[in-house]
Amino acid sequence: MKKDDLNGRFQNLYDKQIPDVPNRVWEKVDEELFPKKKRNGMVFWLSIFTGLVILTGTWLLLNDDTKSTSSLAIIKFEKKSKNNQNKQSKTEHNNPSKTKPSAVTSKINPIENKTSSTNKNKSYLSVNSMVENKETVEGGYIQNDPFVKNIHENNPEDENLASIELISIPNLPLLPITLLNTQRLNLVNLSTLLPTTRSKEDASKFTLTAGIAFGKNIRYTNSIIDPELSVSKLRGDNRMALNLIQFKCGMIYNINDKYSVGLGANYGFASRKSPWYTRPTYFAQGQQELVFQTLEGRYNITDAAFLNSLVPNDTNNINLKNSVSIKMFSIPLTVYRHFKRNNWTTSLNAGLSADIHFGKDFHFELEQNNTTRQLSGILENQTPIVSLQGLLGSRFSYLLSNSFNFYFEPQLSIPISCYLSTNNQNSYSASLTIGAGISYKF
Amino acid sequence: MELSEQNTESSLIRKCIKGERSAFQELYNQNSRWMYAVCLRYHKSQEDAEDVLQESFIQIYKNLSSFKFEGNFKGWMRRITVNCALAKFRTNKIDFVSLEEQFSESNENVLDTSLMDDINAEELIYYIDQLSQGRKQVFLAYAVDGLKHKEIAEILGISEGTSKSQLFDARKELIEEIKKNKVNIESILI
Repeated sequence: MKKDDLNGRFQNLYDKQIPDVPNRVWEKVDEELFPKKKRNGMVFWLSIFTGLVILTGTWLLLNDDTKSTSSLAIIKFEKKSKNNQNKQSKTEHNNPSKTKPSAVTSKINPIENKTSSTNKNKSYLSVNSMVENKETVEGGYIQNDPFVKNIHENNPEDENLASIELISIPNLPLLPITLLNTQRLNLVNLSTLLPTTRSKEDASKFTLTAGIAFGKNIRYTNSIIDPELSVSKLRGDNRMALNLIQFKCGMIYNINDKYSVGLGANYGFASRKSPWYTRPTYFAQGQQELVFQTLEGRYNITDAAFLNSLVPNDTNNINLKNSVSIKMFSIPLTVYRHFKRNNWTTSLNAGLSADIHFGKDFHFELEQNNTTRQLSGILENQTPIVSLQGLLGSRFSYLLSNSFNFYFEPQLSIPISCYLSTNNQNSYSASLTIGAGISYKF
Repeated sequence: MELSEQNTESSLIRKCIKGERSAFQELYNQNSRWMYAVCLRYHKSQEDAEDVLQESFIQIYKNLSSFKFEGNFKGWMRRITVNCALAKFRTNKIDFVSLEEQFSESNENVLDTSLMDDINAEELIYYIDQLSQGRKQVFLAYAVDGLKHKEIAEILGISEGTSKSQLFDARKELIEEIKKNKVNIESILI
């Protein structure tokens, strides 16, 4: 018997007899030869985990109860207000049918004096009720917002105001928030999550990234907002805390094995609490970045596009104040120096920012009686503020799965900044931010 | 093999070399069945045969870049599969009785293998399965899958002489068994 015959006979026979190949054989081969699938799975689950952590963190930030930290402020404010009330009650005694503002109140809320008498009455009633029960005191933060006051005080005369006539509005639902303008927030301190070019292997690749960061900003300020009310003393340790969360996206194009350029965008939210704000405030902020980076370092030019705050109202409060401020001119530059070892990157960063803020404020007030609601609005110019901000920070990151198209870069950054401005609201702040970005390399 | 079929196979191989998982899966789907048959020839245990098949595909994937597109690809894969099947015996440490001293090249032709022509494949497989493990694998590798004694010796870690003696013994045993059974059948028929 020849070999070929024997082989053929064997082959035919075995083809008839052999069972199907079990699927587990391919699964094992696949697992052995293409482990990427598994590792991508690891990245996927890490992403899910990070997402859950971040969502939990966000939930905790947004549900932050500030009552414990603001108790001192409330008590002191009540004392002051009671004194004011005594003075006020004497005035009311002389003319009980018409309530007049106290000197203190008019300083707190001068804009009310420039509007209709109806608004004045409402405003004073609000102040009175603030003294009488603690619940409303907590709701009275609007009148004591130093930023709002500052804006108004910077408008010396009515010439900057454009009054809008009352408009009748049939029973619209009341918005539970008030938008207020703030002149500054150190959100620029948050470092970017754009991926770092680490090696020549990363060159000539186009990378898209998306990430999220959250953290804490503690600010010490030396501004004195209202000496008469000793507001600065009310602040106690002059400390304010911001809880931050930012969503980031961007792209990096590596020109060659040394240089790359990128565009990034941060859109963030922050919640604020301090001993002198009796309710948390929420801020929305957006900024764009132009990034130029080498293997050794990075140069960021950042432009803050908008910065607004959202303050939850007491549901019984029918005042509605909105303000939009735009940072019109800004030259922030941050330089990063990278130190790399394996998958770890430590970056030292220094930044300088010179800004001019000016824009328009839009104040709306919604007035309600038994049958109708009326909206009045005032357009107001902002007084330009020049500020200078210095930044010094460090950033630690660890790169996972850099051998695949997807990679994951959790990071920790600790920037410290100094803010000097022409409106005497100088401050020093420190932040701690934790974030994670996922990138896809093309 | 048709020209278009060859082109399809070549393009599939090139894709596999590039690391395309889907292409390799296609290659697996096309060839795993007959390769499994080869594995089962050497290893009765399905578990062992699956291990050999798995290892064969891993070796095929890793060595694809060394395949020259001149030869028969299936033959190349068969050789790798047989190598893996034999290598497993080596890891299992099958004892080979060295009969090198007793064996000479001339002995190879002494045996009358004409009897093998008279039986069908099923019977032949039955008789081969009765062989001892060492004899069976050498017989299959040499007589069925066309490996040379030198190759068998290298894979199994034995000497060429041992391989030859195992083959000689396998044939001898096969013929004796076939003869014995033939006599039995004839006596029944009478």
